[in-house]
Formats: sequence, C-alpha cells, structure tokens
Amino acid sequence: MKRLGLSLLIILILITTPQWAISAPKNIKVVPRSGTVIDLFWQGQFNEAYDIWQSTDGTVWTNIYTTDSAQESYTVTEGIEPYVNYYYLISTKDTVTDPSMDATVSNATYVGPAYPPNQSAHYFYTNDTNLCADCHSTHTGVGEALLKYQEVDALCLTCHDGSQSKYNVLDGVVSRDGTWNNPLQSAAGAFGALSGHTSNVIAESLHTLGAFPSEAPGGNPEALGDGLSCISCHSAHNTQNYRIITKSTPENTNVGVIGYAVTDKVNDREYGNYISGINDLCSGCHPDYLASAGSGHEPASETYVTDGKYRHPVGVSPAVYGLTTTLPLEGINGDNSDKVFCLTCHYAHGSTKESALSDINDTDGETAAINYNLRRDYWSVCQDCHKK
Amino acid sequence: MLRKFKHSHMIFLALFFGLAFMATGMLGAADFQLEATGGSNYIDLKWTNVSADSYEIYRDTDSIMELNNSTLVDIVYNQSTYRDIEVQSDTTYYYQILAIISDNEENLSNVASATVFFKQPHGDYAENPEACAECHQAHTADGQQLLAETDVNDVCFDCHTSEGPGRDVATQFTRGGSNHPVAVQQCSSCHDGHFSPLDDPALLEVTVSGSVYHTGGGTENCLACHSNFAFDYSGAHNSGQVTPKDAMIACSGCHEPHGSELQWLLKSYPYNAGQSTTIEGNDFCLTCHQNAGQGSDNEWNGEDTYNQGHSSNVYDCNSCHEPHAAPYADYLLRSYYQNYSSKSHSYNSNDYNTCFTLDCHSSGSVLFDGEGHFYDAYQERYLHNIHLKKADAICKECHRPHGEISAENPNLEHLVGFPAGTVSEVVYNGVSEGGPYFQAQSGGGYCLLSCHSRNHDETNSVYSNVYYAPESVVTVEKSVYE
Repeated sequence: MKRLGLSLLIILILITTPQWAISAPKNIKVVPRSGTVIDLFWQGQFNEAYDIWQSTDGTVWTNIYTTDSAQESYTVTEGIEPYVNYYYLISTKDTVTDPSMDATVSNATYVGPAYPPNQSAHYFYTNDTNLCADCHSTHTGVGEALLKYQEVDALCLTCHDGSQSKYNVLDGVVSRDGTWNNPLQSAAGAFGALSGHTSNVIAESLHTLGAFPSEAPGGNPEALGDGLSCISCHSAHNTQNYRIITKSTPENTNVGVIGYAVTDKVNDREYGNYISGINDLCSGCHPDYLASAGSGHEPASETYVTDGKYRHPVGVSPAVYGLTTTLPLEGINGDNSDKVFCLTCHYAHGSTKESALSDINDTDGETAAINYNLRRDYWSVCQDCHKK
Repeated sequence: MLRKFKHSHMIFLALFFGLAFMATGMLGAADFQLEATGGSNYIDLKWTNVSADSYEIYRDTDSIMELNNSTLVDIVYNQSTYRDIEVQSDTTYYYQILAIISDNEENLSNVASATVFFKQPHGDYAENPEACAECHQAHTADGQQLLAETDVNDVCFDCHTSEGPGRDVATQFTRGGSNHPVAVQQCSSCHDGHFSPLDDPALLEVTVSGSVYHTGGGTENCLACHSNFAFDYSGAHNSGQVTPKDAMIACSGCHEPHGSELQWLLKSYPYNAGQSTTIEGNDFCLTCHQNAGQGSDNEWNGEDTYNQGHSSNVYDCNSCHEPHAAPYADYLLRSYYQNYSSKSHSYNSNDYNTCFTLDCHSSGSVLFDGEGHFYDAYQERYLHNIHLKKADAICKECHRPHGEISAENPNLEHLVGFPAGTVSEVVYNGVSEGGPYFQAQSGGGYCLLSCHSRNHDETNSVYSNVYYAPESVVTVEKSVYE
C-alpha cells in the first residue's frame, strides 16, 4: 500500500512538473558581427538547454548547435556567407523537430532574421548601439517621433535609395556583394524614381507614395492620414512580421505575416517564401478584393462598396482546379497546392513590366495602359495559370 | 559671246543653287523617303539611307505634323529601319524623320502614316497576353468567370458589331425572319473565345450544361441541341456525302447560324418558284438538285421540271419532303409506295399518303369521281380504279410528281410520265410505234404503250388505250389507227 501511494505521488509530480520546468526561450536577438559571424542572444527561462536552428529559406532548418543549460547566447562562426539572408530560432532542447512544423510560442522563440554583414537598423538593438540615431534626433528632430526628416518616406529613402541598405527600393534590387554590380532582383519590385531620387528603372505602375488607394474599391483611404507611405505597410521597428510588415492597417489591426526573403544568387534574385498573412496586409486597404473560392461564379455581397461584382479568388490552390503556375503562392507545401494570394500576380512596390491594357470600361469601351503592379508583361500572369 | 554668256549664266545658277542648298541644308523630299507599315501592336518604319549622323524620329496623331509639337520617339544612328512599339491598337499615327547629316545640314522626310491594326483577342495567349483584359476583369467583373459584362453575349458584342473591330455578328441576330435564341443559348454555347482563329476561324465548341459536347465545328455542333434531326442521319443529306459542288452537306449549307430574313434560319427559300429572295446566292434545294437522278426512275431535271409539276405558292419541297430525315424513302414525310417490281401489289390507300393528304388528292375522288379524274365517259370506266385496284399498278408507274418529261408526254398534262420503266413501246404488226406513251387530246387522250407486255392500243379490246372526257364523247376519235 505504501508502495502504491509512493508511485501515485511520483506520477503526480511527473505530470505537473513539466508545466513549469519546460518553457520557451524568449526575445531572440540576431546581430551580425561581420559578414561571416553572427551573434545570437535570447532569454532563457529555467536554465534549460536549447537547440539553435538556422535556415536560409524558412523551409529547411538545421539544428546547428545545442547549448549547455542556462546558456543565453551563441556565436555562429561557420557557414555564414556575406549578403545571404539567414534565419534563426531558439527552441527548448528536444522539443522541436522541424521549426517550420512544430515550433510554437510554448517551445521556441520567434524567427530572427540576419542580413550579414549589416546589422539591421530596424531591430535587435544592442545596449551600445548607435542605430537609433540613424533615424531619430533626440533634441533636434524635425519630424514626429523625433525623426530626422519631416517626411517619413524621405527618411526611409536615405538608406533604401541604394546608398546604404542592401535593399534599393527605387531600382527594386538587392546588393549581391555590397556593391551594385549585377544586383539581385528584389521580391517587391521597383518604385522607380521618387521625389528627390533618381532611379535606373522606370516603374510602369507603383504604390504611389502620398496617394490614397481610392482606385481600389473597398478601401478606407482616409484612414491613411497623409496618404500612402512606407509605414502604411512597414513598421520601422520589429513587428515579428516578414519584412517588418505593419500590424496595423485601416481595415485590419492585427496583421501577422510569416515569410522569408530568400537569397538566390544563382538565379539573380531574392524571392519571398511566403507562408501566410500577406492577404491580411493587402486587404487592409483593398478589402473588397479579399474574395474567396467561388467568387468568380457567385457575385460578392456585403462588401465594402462594390457589391455584385465577380472577383478572382485568393486563398485557393491552383492544384484544386488542375492548374499549375510558376508564380509565387502562399503556403508551406512549396507546390501548386499552396494558395493564390495577392503577390501571386502583383508586386508590392511597383512593376517595370510592360503595361497591360486596363479592363474594359463599361461606359465607353475605352482602354488605357495601366500596369497594376503586375509581375509579368501585359496579362501574362493570367496565362501562367490558365494557359488558354 | 552667246556661248560665253551661257557658260557664265550656268556657273552663276550653279553657284546660286549651291549656296542656297548649303544655306538651307535641305535635300529634296524625294531624296529622303519614309515608309510606315502598321502591325498588330507596332508600326515599322523604313527610310532612305542618306548617310546622316543621326535620325530623329517624330510621331504624331495629327496628319499635319509640326516637329516642335510632335513626340520625339527616338534618335537612332546608322540604321534605316525602326519599330515603334509605344503605340495603341486601332490608332493611326503619322511619322516624320529629321536626318541630321552634319552640323549645318538637315534633311526632313515626307510624312508617312500607318495604323496599328486591331489585334484580335482570341487565343495564343502566351504570345498575346495583353488580350485577357479585352473580356475579363480580375477584381471587379460584372459577370461570371470575371467577364467584363453581366451577359457573355455583351462581351462578344463589344467587338462584333457593325462598328466594332470584329466581324459583325450582332446585326445578323437582328434579321427579321428567325434568330438563334441567344437569350437562351449564349454565344459561348457554340463558341470558345479562347480558341485561336488560326485553328478554327469560327472558334467553334459546343457546350451543353457546362460540359464540352463537341469541338471542331461541323454538323455535330448543331446536333448538340437539334438531336431530333439525327435519327436517320445516314441518308443522302448526311454530312459525309459529297454534293455535285464537291462540298460536304452540313447544316450550315442550308442554314444561317445566327439569324435570317427567312424562317428556320434558312439561307434561301426551299424552292425558287415565285420567290426571288435568296441569301448568299443560294437557291436552296435546287442548288444541288438541278439534274438529280438523271437516268434513274426518279429522273427530273430540277427547277424547270418542278415548275411544271407541283409548283405553286402553296406547295414547296417541304410539302412532301423533310430534308433532314424522314420515315420514308427519298426523305418523304408520308408513304409513297414505289416498288413497281411487284406486279401484284394490292391497292391500299395508306400506301399513297403523300398524295392523299393535305386536301391535295383524296383516295375516293381519284378512284371513283368521274369528273376530271381519268374517267372514260364512253365506256364508263374509272380508269384510276382499274389501274390501281384491278391491274395492281402503282402511282409511280404513270406519274412523275416533280413534272412531266416531253418525250413521254408532249402535252405535259396531269404529271403523266413513266418513271418506273414498267412500260415499253407498242409493237404493232411487228412494227415499233415509238413514243410518246401518252398524249392528251381535246376531250380526252390516249396511251400508246405496252404495260407488262400487254399493248394498250386499238388491238386490245379489253385494255382500250383511248379515253373520252364526259363532255367530249362525240368529238374524240376512238382510235388513232383508224
């Protein structure tokens, strides 16, 4: 009887102990020290040992090291190539087998990106950082939030015009090696020349900074305040979203986007491995376009301003309809069973592709050359799936 | 002196024009020719090579060009051709090129124009990707399948009107006689707008209840809905048959696909008697049946014969025939016994419903009504009755319903003729009498023929070959041999 009671006590302890003994590490901080060395920091909870995971695309993860207990930092010194994007995640030892599948807030940190050799100006600040002063001026700021520029877009372009960041949003390119020789094509496309900035390319269409997206039915452009801006879609600081995408839009206020910008020097590009959430960002201004399966056959109803219209759906898999595509899809499968999303057809920033004719105007039959930020010349995005 | 003056004058003129030429730096326009040729989404330019340092290409939509106000398209060097792709479809552009030959010398071409022709939007989308938006809208479509209009027909009629760039189909649907009901069946019921006209000019593909029924055009298209015309489609009007014009008979041979001024979407009236309206020059049945069956028991020679036969504004081919298919031979709607090989076919009025219908002829009046129905008033014989019921003859042995033939019946009366070939010449005392076999005379007539080896002549008292109309008993010769 005593033995039975002791056994029950042990079982009770075993059942309850893990609830407090195993807890997720937090606050990962990824700080490139050079082009080949990356420092990792995190906060442990109960002196566990931790698995350190590394990936270049968010799909294939490698457990590069398992720490001793109570360790809260690690320096990656092997296998790092400058100007390649890396992603890190710290998980409690032996609780994760594939971060793309089973990492949760209960067993791992969120994913921290690194763009060696540069430390991002947007997050993972260290105690001795000077990065704050890149954008803010404590006592002589000329813009809101102590910004050094009155217009936030102008501030962004001080780096992203090709002069400092490896991301040149004007030309829509990413530096391959720290120079602008043979750069990689960016995933978001090109804005072309913007106010006060020249560009090597001409954007046929773009998300025009300062404009209100009133042409996209369903939006609430007044909520953008002074109009479309870099911070309409991006936050300056870490949101834990892909590309520090903002969490707050006019229509959606808790946008969560998972994705990975993948360096693909072989194919001269950086592309997005989109997992989820992009449509939530876009529908923050274009909610009527967030159409689901069947919307091409049944008219939309109870939409923002344009009831009764038929719309191409998002969130549907080409494979379901027997279609294939070379355009990007959103999901974890990496094939045509992933889902059509806004970026399947559109660039986020702008497009240099040949202008497509606009849709037929019902009233006068006139057409106009409008590009719609399309990824391909004219309407080749349609043909890529539908192959008519 | 005179010669000297002339030389000096010529030198002066040469100097004058030379200096003038250098001052203006302009060659004659004839020396610098520009040609423009329109393409589907471009305009090609070709000009005379005048060894210029550069060529400034100007474009305008106004035929009266002023270079200062025209668009400078490009400046090119060491070339004499150029393709301008910054152009819109269905638009005419004017071009002029300024050749910069040196710092002091320029040369202006003629103004050349060309039109960017409309690039048809159907098919080949890998090469023609700008065409999708001609019919579809990605996000704010008014119709299903993201079509720009609520009704797919309206999408088609955006172009296919009298004023549009496509073939004018809309007008065809306004023809007054008959129309394919596009309100029920849509353009897309028969056409697939995604086909390429290079593969099928009419883009034909029939869809029934959302599923493809037939692709590739032809009669099968029509049978998708008109399957009732397929029940005996192995006849002469089968699409596989070759007509005398070496064209396959198909539904479209006789019918308009969209609309017609006539009923049943007909291209023309079924016969030409008393009618002059034709569409596309067809005379319908007679187009093919001008000389059908020569030498056969159905011999007739088309329109001329028909006009002597059952021609009127009441009857037409369709009165007796159903051209698609019919339950009786020769596309006949009703019975018409034609097996003359049997010498003992018992008369049954139901065997001749083609004749005894529509109040044309009644069995009773033909057989027993003496007034005008082959009644021999002299011998009081009902000759139809005798032939059909006693001699077991059939109509076809003595009549050609399409019309008489003068060699058999020079009077061309009563559609009398002998298509069955069961009659032959009378041989009298070893001498052949020849034709014709039937001759009408005032007040009656006579036959001079041998039927089943029995002479119808004066020598045969039973089968007397002469008949007398009731009112003409006393005036008609009894025998032609008297």
